[in-house]
Amino acid sequence: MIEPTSLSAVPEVSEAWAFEDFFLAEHERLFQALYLLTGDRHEADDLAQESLLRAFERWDRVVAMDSPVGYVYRTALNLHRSRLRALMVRARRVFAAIPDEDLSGPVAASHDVRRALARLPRGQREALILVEWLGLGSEEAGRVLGIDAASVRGRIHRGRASLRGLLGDGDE
Amino acid sequence: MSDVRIILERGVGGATPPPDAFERILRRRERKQRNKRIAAGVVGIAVFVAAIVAVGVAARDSGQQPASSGTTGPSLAPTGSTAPSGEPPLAGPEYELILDAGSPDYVLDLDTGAMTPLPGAIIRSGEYRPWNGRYAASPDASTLAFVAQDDDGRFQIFVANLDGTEIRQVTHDPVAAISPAWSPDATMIAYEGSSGELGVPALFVLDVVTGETTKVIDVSPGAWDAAPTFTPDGSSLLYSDLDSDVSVVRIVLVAGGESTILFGQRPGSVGEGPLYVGGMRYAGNASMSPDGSLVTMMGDTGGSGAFRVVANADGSGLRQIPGRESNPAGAWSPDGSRIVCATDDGEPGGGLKVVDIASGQGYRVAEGSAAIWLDDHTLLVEGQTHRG
Repeated sequence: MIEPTSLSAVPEVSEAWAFEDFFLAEHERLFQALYLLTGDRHEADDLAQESLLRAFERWDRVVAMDSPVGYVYRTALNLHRSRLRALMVRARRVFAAIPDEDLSGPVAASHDVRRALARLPRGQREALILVEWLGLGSEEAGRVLGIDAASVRGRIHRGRASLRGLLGDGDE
Repeated sequence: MSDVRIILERGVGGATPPPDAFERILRRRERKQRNKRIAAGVVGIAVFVAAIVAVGVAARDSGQQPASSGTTGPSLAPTGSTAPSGEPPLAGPEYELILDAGSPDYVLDLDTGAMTPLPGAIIRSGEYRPWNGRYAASPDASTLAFVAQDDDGRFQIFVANLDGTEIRQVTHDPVAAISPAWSPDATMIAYEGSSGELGVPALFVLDVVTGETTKVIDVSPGAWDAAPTFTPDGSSLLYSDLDSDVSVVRIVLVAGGESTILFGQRPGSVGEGPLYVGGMRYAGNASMSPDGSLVTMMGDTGGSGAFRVVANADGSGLRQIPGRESNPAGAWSPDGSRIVCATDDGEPGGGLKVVDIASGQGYRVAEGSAAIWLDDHTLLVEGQTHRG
């Protein structure tokens, strides 16, 4: 066994290991939630990286919170909202033609769902993903979104109906 | 499992993150820490450089030729002749930036090429930058308004003296506050923030003295960065908006009310007059000259793709000029003779250029993502950044 060369090295190593446990438990779910939110794999990866990095940088405080997971999701949503106003890609889209995407086969069904999600009001989309995909309760989702639980439930109700309507899924 | 959960699983389509994600986070963290150390080092070097340049300028003004600066830190390498001091160069030197990616923002003297990094206190968490640019300088250039991230990661507006002192956060938008612009009398800052429960984009004006914020007008959801700027008399805001998915330039009274399309396609069934208002099919990224006689913007006149134009404020005299996007809050030189903007697509070296409005001539001045004028010879440049 290799002994640490100094006591000061130990806290940083322990901190990284504890965060890594959290990362392994949450990263894939977070990535998939952001993929549903943004519709873009690279954007989802970038948002997940940045929000988890911010949690890592403040890990001693984040780990003591009631919901470290909620903190990470809230950070990711804030970053995403900020980027909606600022991304260069979005600005270019106003002036440049977007080439038609060639979608076929299994990819089409996945794409249809993400397009339908993109047509939902942002608040409904975020609430749906937090509750239906990430499994957060209304209270916790409300804390992430900065609204009360009743508002979360209202958005969920409207979002479900809208999503089903857009996809033509009438089954319960 | 609920039907909506099944639908969302279909949407995910089995997508998984890259396998090396944790290692990339560790590298991203190391890179951030390294960039902070570089920025701190550059500030120290810049103080030394600024002192050397100040001595050189003083010697030149007294009739002597400055000695070689012998700078050891970041510097510019002029490749052409230097224009006489005080005269805006029409074909000035092209400065080749030596600072690497992730360099801090700096003040650039167009006459001498001197670069002075902004104080580290102002350069905060700037990896994700607002589209048009972070900064807006007060009319006397003594105070900067700038966009930075608060403790929760939201973009907010801050103000500070140019020397980095007296930094304070002036907005607390629940989503984001971006694109600050000073009023001509320096009493207000216009910006784009969010409104209502769903956080739809809206324009606001902030009273700099009282801190009171007043909403002016909602911006169409999904609008590309509205980038409001004051008209020279301070009564109205010029801004970009989306109208039926077409970008237009609108004007609205600061006191609020209905807005009017100045440039861009008017919905065909609404109002009288030309369909392409001001001769533009779509338009955005607009700013008015300090005397209010001219407007520059990006846009398209009908199918030829977007380019930069200048026109009289009434829409007459429309002509194309070099360059692309600018920071509307500081695009015009105070004397109204030049603008600073991004170089044209595909232009060697990229970066930023200064365009003389009268002649239509432009020349590249720096590598960077955006810039504003501090005075007729000085730019505040946002150094090129790369996302980790």
